[in-house]
Amino acid sequence: MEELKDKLVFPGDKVGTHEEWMPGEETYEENGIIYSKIFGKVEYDEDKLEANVVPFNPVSEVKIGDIIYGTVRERRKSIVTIDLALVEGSNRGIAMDMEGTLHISKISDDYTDQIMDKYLKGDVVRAKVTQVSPSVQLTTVGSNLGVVRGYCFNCRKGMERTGDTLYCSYCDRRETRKISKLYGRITLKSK
Amino acid sequence: MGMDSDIKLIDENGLRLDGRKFDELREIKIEAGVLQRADGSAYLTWGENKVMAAVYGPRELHPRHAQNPSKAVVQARYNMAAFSVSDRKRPGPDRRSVEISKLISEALEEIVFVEQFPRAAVDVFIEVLEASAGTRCAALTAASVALADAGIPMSDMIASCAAGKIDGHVVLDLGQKEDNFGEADVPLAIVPRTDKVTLLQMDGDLTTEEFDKAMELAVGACKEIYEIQRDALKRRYSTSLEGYEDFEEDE
Repeated sequence: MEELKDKLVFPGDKVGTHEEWMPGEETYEENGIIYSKIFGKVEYDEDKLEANVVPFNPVSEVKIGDIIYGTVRERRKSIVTIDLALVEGSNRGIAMDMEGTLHISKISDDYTDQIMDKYLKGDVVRAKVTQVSPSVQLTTVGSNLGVVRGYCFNCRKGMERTGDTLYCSYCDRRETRKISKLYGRITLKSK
Repeated sequence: MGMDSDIKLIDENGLRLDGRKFDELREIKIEAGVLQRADGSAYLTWGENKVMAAVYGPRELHPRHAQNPSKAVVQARYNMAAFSVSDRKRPGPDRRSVEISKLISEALEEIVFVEQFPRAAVDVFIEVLEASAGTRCAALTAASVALADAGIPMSDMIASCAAGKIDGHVVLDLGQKEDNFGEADVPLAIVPRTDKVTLLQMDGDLTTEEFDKAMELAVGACKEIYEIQRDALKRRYSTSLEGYEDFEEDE
């Protein structure tokens, strides 16, 4: 079966047999034979003894450890809910209407007293997924995570980053956020 | 079907109007990944037919009451452009295109792993830019390539082709005139690996023997078409694969 490694397969193509491998990602099993679910490349996981197919054009699914982009929907006393929009590395939107929860303790390294000082509704956030089931849990601990685009509380215009605060030149306002190092450096293409 | 006419569909050499043999397909060309903004797409030319298919999803399904909590819904929309036929076609869905959309949706739902995406929709938009008989087969063939290009989990691919009867002979892949003045038309779609039938219609009358012969011709042709589909996807892969920027995580 090894000769199939790195081979291009189409949906329904044979990837291996059940005697040799377990059906891994993007594969299915029928009558002891493992078939590909997608158009991709065959890869074998020798440790888990799994036959996988790596897609060329993967469907966007949220997994633990993924970096996601989303907008702040709501702030409560101890949680922020974020509408997930995009998984980093994928140019496709997330399949379903998904929302993630960011707990106050997972916002940054240091103690957060008030969520109001860290996020505002509408902010575009770069966060990491720590749990997907039963609910999506996020963290923004780390200097690359946090707000990548913030909007002024007063006029809702985009703000510039100055040091560790955000500045609105229209209202001459300064606001605090959990700012990502990548603030203003990310262009999100929406489909 | 079966319009009365003096038109001779088969000449004295046993060739058809366009010079094809009984078991010969029109020329088929498929290109995958032609649309930038769709998740997956395909452009197919089949003789005079020109068909474009685009796939979006799985994505959120609106209206929400159409969602199925246990599986995704495959929504195919077959549409003929106003300029696709010699008389202007009145734009918009009509009896015929609604029927074909339903057929294609059901055929595709058969191969997509719909249970994997509850509440979602997989949208397949098929535009017929030029029509010259056999567009439903062309549409389904293109849609299947577009779905594979979109990376949607499927158990197999679908290939589709029609057979029919003209001037008393069972032939493959009817052309425009053969469709209009022939005696029967049998569009068929199969899963080439298992020979499972996912679409079968019959317009006109055939005897059991003729029907079996038509099936045999169409199944053989579907396997040929399947190779063209695979080839299209292969070519798509050799020209794509661009890297994306990776940010380093600090942890």
